[in-house]
Amino acid sequence: MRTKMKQNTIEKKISEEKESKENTFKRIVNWFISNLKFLFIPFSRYETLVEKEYDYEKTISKRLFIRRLKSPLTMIGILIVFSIVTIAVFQDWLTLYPREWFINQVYSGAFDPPSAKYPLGQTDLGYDVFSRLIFGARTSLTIALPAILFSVVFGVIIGIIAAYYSGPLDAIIMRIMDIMMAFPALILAMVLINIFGQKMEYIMLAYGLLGIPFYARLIRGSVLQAKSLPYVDSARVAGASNLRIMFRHILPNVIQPIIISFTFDIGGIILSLAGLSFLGFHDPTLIEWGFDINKAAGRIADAPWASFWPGIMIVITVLGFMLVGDGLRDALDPRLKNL
Amino acid sequence: MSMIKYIFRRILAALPVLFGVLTLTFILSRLMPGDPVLATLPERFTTEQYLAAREALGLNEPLLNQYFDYLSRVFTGDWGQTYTIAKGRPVWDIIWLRFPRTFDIAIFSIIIASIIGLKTGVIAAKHRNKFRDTFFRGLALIGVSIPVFWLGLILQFLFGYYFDILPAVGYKTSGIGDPPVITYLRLIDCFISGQWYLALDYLEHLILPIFCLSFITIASITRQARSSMLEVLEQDYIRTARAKGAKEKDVINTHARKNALIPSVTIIGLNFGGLLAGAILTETTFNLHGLGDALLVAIRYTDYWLLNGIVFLITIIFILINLMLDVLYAFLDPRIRY
Amino acid sequence: MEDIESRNIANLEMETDKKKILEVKNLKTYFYTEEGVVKAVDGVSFNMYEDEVLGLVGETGCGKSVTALSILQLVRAPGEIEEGEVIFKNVDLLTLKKKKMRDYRGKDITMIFQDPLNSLNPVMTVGTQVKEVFELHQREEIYELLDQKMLEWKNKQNRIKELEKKLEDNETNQRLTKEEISDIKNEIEKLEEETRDRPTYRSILREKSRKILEEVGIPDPEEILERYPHELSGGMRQRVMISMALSCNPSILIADEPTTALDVTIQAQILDLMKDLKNEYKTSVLMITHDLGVIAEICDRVAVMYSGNIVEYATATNLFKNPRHPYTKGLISAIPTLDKKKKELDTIRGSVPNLIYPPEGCRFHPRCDYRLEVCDKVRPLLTQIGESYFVACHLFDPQYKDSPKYEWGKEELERTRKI
Repeated sequence: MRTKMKQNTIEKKISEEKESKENTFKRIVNWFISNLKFLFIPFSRYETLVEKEYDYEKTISKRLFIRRLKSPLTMIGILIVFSIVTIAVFQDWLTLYPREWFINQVYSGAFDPPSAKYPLGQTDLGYDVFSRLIFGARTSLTIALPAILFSVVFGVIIGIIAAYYSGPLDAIIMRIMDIMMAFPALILAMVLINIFGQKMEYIMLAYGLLGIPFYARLIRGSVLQAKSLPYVDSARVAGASNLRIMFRHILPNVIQPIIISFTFDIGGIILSLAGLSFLGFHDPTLIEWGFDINKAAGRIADAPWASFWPGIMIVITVLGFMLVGDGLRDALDPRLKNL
Repeated sequence: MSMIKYIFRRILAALPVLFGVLTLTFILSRLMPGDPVLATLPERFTTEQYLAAREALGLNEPLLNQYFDYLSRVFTGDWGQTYTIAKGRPVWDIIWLRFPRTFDIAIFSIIIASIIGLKTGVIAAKHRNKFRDTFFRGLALIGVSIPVFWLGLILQFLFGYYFDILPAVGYKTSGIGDPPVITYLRLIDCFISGQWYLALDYLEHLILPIFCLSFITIASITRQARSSMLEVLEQDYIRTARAKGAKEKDVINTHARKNALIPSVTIIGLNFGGLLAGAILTETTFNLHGLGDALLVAIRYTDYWLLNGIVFLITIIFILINLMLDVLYAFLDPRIRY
Repeated sequence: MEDIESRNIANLEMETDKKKILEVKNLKTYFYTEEGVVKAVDGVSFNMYEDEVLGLVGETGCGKSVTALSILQLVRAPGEIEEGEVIFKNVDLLTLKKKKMRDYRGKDITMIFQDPLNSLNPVMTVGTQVKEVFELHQREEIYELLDQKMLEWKNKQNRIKELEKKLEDNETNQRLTKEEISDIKNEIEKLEEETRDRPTYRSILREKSRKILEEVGIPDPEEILERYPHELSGGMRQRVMISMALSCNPSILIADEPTTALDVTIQAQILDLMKDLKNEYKTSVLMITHDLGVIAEICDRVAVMYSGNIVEYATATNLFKNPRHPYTKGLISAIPTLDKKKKELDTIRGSVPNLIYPPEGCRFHPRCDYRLEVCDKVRPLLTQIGESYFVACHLFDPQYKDSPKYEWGKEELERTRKI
């Protein structure tokens, strides 16, 4: 009897678990459908909204955000970023020639004009310009993204700590940041790359280090403002530790400008990296748009295609990120939210 | 009086930064790979020769002594000799010969860009979401996305080669003479010595680089000016001005413009480093034989003294410009306390 | 529907011998946001009479400020004035061209705002901002004054020359007595003192601004003129705002919550000042506030706004004595007083409705305790129920006398209470 009961309860539990699992899954799906359809279906609204305006007000900001993002320019930006990422991921299927063709090889026909075999012309060593354009996408993204993440993470941590503890620690940290800001960034990058060596990881590291002061300053300003707000005091009264106050209470409230700046800066970093590789500070094993332009610059008069197309790729990529950044800023801008 | 005190305080505050930059340059230059001694020696050399050269460069001293030696030299104006670009010439000389060209394009561009950029930004904000706004905004967005060196190349191709109306590279027509060196600024030297055709030739060569650099700078200033103008136009005091019955033109020009200028000034200052980088890239693209060229050589071949000199110069300019903008800022915004 | 509304507007006459100065008829201002059309002001009508204070009262977000801004056509970008008439001295302001409208702003109809710090330009001195109003609207008067002053000045100068000549003549013929000579000398001195500064356009502007600042009770106006807004206290700033608004002797002053951002003691000062100035300048005031205390203190008539409509419009004494509309009743009973120190304050349950999808019928019905069955179906209109008393509520409409009372369900009550 008892065992039977036990079995029953166990069965019940299992079925309950199964049900709850199904329920969670259902809930997630429902959440996705109800929240993301705004992104894909134009003019979509919650069906029950007109009757239930009470709920309506709660969703207003989320829906506003998504709707603002739907401006045509932002859409173009998202499309560009999406395509660049796609190109970067699926590069091996998109090129006319495999990656191996571009390592330590020389082909005939340096700077030849576009032909059937080479749709956008050839470079100094007779490489296919078109294939190099596609290989360049991955290089740009793989260097820019980790570099900027590095600067954001460390910049935010340093900025919050400096602003939160203020006093001498703040003074010392901010002086160091000032020095780094006063040092011309391009030169610092070149020197650092020269010291570390011309490898991808080191270029990332150099750029990551360079971005730190900017984010640290940005977040320090907002934390100093937020620190004096009542919610920080109430968190302290509630007995939260310093770490918890810094990263659970203050950070979410000041992260917005960082998110906006982050998107812009991806574009900025890609631009600077192109500049650096144009000056010759690049990883020679990688295919980079900037360095391609460097190689072709001397022959701009008679072979413009070799430097024109890589430049166009840089412009499009950076433009994409800038457009998304613009859209994000408009959508997140608190000043535009109220009438 | 309070203004002078304020400036003095700002200079004092800038000193530690300057000192820090000097130290950082020293550390970084010693960390750089490559042996500067090699550049001073002939192709084949003996160990004794090498050691003697090393001794002559002062590299056998302990690092700390080298550091203090370096500091004292920087402040006494003896910036050492280069051993890569022109062997044995003082770094000071090299900088004076090359810096003016970089300086010329940078200064012309920043002036042009400030004038045009602030104007277009205000126009765009005034006609928000109308055609003019969209046009300037789009142009500015493209402007900030274009790599400056690539724009330079395209300009070279179009105007230098395809239409063939402007010189593509260099700062003077080959074979044309130089004015006597008086102030080191070629343009002024030309005027002083009365050689107008040299000045014209120089200007003709500068048109493309200046256009190239100002286009990029105009773009970022336009964006900044537009957004700060939009922010100002949302403010209550603009509504007050309208409630007074002020004309729309006056609302923009007298009430909004100055308020919008304040954040723009800060941004121009912060972006000055970017402008210098842009100037270096532009000048390399157009082969003007300016500072950028020397800098590249200095880094490639570990020329300590040349590198230090250039970095020091740029930092001083950066700090000076920011100081000037601080003063301008205090002048524009009465809320700033000296 | 249409003709009922027009009837309603035509009837909106108060029994008074004073002249009507501003007539707002069926004003509608909508905001076109991405979320939908926000009907911030949806058919507001009221009249203002000469030398009277009309209070416009209501909760935050009921459209008070938008009404005021619509009168001056200062509504910002997504907002547009849909329809209606704003008749000022027989001119419909809404049909005027922009340029013409500017002449009314700051001269005939002026406005002061809630936050005096943000309403003054931070980078311009107080003097520049005060002078601007004179320059915009009184240029001719100033030049006339200048001519007049110049004439006086020249006369005085001539007089000095005359007197000096007399003295010179005296040296040769010695006809004057000693006393006469000293009299003349004194007069010359006095005249010279007076004519030291030649009157200029700027000096007159300065004089005028100094006077108007003195008028609003600013001590040491000469110095204040040189100051920047951030160097003044809140009360001072609001005084400067008032001085700017009154400088051209306007017919109507719109005060958009002028005391909300100030300390209580300063509030009283500013209110007293406004009362005095109103009597002195014979200006009609439209006082916008959510503070019934302010209304009781200063207003002659009151219009109560709820969700973009005026629900009650009457003289202040009548309204406070015997409020009719359930919303007004709720507002008045929500004022905390010492003698009703109960456990809980009287509040109106629920919150201000969303203006994009306002409730059908009477907009107050989801919160109303006296709700009738018709309330969520037919929209009530402002109708006269007594002498100078208008109310928009079905309870007082003879047409719905027999309409049964709506029974609130328990659940419904709970839900609205929570929010």
